[in-house]
Amino acid sequence: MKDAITIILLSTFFAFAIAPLIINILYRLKVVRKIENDFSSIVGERTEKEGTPIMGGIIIIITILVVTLTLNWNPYTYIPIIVLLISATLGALDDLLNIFGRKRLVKPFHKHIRLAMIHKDWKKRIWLALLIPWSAYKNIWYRLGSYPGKGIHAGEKIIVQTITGGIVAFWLFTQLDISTIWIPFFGDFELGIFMPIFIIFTIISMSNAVNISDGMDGLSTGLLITSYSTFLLIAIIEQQTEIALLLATIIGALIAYLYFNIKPARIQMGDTGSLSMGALLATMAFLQDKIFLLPIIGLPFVVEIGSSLLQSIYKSIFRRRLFKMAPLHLHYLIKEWSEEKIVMRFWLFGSITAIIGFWLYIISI
Amino acid sequence: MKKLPKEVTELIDNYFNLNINGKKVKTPYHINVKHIRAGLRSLVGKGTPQEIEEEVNIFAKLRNFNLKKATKDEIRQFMQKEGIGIDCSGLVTHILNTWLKSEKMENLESSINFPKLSLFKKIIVKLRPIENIGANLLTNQENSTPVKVENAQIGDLIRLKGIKQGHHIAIITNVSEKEIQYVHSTRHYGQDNGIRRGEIQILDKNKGLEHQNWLEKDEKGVCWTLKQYMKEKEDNGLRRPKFFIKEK
Repeated sequence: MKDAITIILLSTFFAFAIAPLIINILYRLKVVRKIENDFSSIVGERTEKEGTPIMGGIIIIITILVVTLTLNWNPYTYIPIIVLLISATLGALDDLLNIFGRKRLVKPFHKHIRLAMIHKDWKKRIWLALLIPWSAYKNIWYRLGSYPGKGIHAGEKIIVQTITGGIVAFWLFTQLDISTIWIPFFGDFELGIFMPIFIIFTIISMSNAVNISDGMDGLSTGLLITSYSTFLLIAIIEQQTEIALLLATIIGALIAYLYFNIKPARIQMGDTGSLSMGALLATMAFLQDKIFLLPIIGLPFVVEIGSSLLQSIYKSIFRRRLFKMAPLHLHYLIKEWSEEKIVMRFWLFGSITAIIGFWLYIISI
Repeated sequence: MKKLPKEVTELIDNYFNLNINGKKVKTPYHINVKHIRAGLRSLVGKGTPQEIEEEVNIFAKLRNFNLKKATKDEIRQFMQKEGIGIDCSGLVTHILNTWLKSEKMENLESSINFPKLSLFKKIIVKLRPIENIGANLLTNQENSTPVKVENAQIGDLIRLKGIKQGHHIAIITNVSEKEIQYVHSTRHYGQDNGIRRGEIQILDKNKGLEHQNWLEKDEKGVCWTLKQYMKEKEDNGLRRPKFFIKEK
C-alpha cells in the first residue's frame, strides 16, 4: 500500500514534469487536431477543439515506461509493457496518418478482380491475384460501415489488435497455464481452449471501447483512473505487489495527464493513449484473474461501445436512429447537455459501477 | 361517406406544422434521387414528422445552424440542403399505414400485394416497409381499382404517372358535390414545394380528372400537378386501394 502510494506520487510528478515539454513539441511539430478527420468533433460546437495537440498519450506512455523500467521491471510487467508499446505504436501511427497522411481509398472488390485479370503487366497481375483475399477483407469492413479515411483502416487495426491479444493469450495460456476465469461466488470457470479467443476478443473490445469513449475532454481519462484504481485496490488486497505497482504507475500518469486534459483541454490523448490504455486495462484484469469484474468496473466503456454497436445494427436494419447519435456521450450532447455535465455524470456513473465491482469482489472472497 | 380518422388528420397536420424549435415549419420535398442505400429513412424522403423533426435538430447541431435565430424559410432551405423532407409516396404510405393501424390494427405492408419477391427482399420489406412501397405499387392494378370522379371518396388515390419525372401520387382528404381536396408532397411550386393541399373543382362528374378545374397553382397560374397528370392521362386517374374495398 505504502509503495503503491509512493509510486502514484512519483509517477504523477514525473508526468507533470514532462507534460509541458511534450505539449510544446507536439505544437511545434503541428501534431494538432484537425476538424475534418475528427469524429468526435462532428457536432458543430466542438469545432473549438481544432488546433489542440493530440498524441498526448505519449505523456502517459513515457511515464509508465520510465517508472516501470527503472523501478518495477520484472516478469509480471513484461507483457503489459509489450501490450502498451504495440497498442501505442498502432495508435500513434493512426494519429500521425490522420494528420499528415493522404486519404486512402478502398478499391471496390469487383474492380480489384477485374484489374487482376486484365492488367497489362503479368507481374502486376500475379501480385493483384495474391492480394484478392486482402481486398475482400478490406471490402467486408467497408461494407460493414467503416468509412476509410486517412488513418489506419478498421480492418487493419483489428489485425494488429488481434496480434496484441494473441501475445497476451499466448503468454497466459501457454506460459502461465491460465485457462480459467474467476467468477464471484462460483470460483474458477474453465474455458479451456476458448481462453485464447476470449482474451483476444476482450482486448480488442476494451481497446476500442476506450477509444470510442475518448470523445470529450477528460471523459475517458477520468473513467480510466476510476477503473485502474479499483483494480489497484484489488491487487493490494491480493498482495500482487508488482501488478499493484504497475497500476499505481498508470494511475499517477493519468492523474497528471487529466490536469492538462480537463476542459478546455491543452492536450488530447489521441489513439496513442486510448488504444493502449484500453488494451492495458484488459491485460491487467487478465493478469489479476479478475476479468469477470472488468465489464462491471468499466461499465461506462461497455455502454459506450455497446451504444455504437446497437446504433449501427439498428440503423442498418430499420433505417432509424436508436440514439440521437452514438456513442452515448454524443446522444446527450445533441440533447443539449453541456460537455461538463456529460463528463461529470459519466464519471459518477463510472464511480458507482467501480464500487459495485469492488463490492462484488469483497463479498465473494 | 368515409371520414379521415383522427390519427390521420393529426399526422397530416404534423407534416404541415413540424415543430422545429417552437416554429411551425411545413415539410419540404425530398426524394432519394441518388438512390442512397443504407440511408436513414428521414434522409431518403420517408420519415414520420417526429423523425424529420429529430433529424433537423441533429443536423442543426452538426452544422452549427442556429434554429433559434433562423426564420421558417431559412429552416426549410436548410432542410432541403441537408436532404431532409418527404416524398410523395412516403407521405401517402404513412397516411395509409396510420389509417389502417387506427381502424383495423393492421399494417400497410400486410395489406399490399407486392410483386414476386426473393426471400431476402421479403425480409427487407418486412423490416423497412415504408421505403419499399412506391407510388406505382400503391396505384397499380394489383393494389387498386380505377374509380370515376362521381364516385370519388376520401382515401382514394390520384395516380399521376409523369413520363420523365417518374410516378407521383396524391391522396384525397375531402370530397363534396363540387370539389375534391387532396394532399400530396411535390417537387414543384418552387420554394413552396413539399407537402401541399390542392383542390379540384368538379365541372363534369362524368368526365375524367383532366376535364375538371385544378385550383392548385403557382404564382404564374401554372398547375404543375395537372401538367404531370396530363403527361400520361390514359394511365392516370383516381384509384381506390383494394384494402378499402375489402373493408366493405
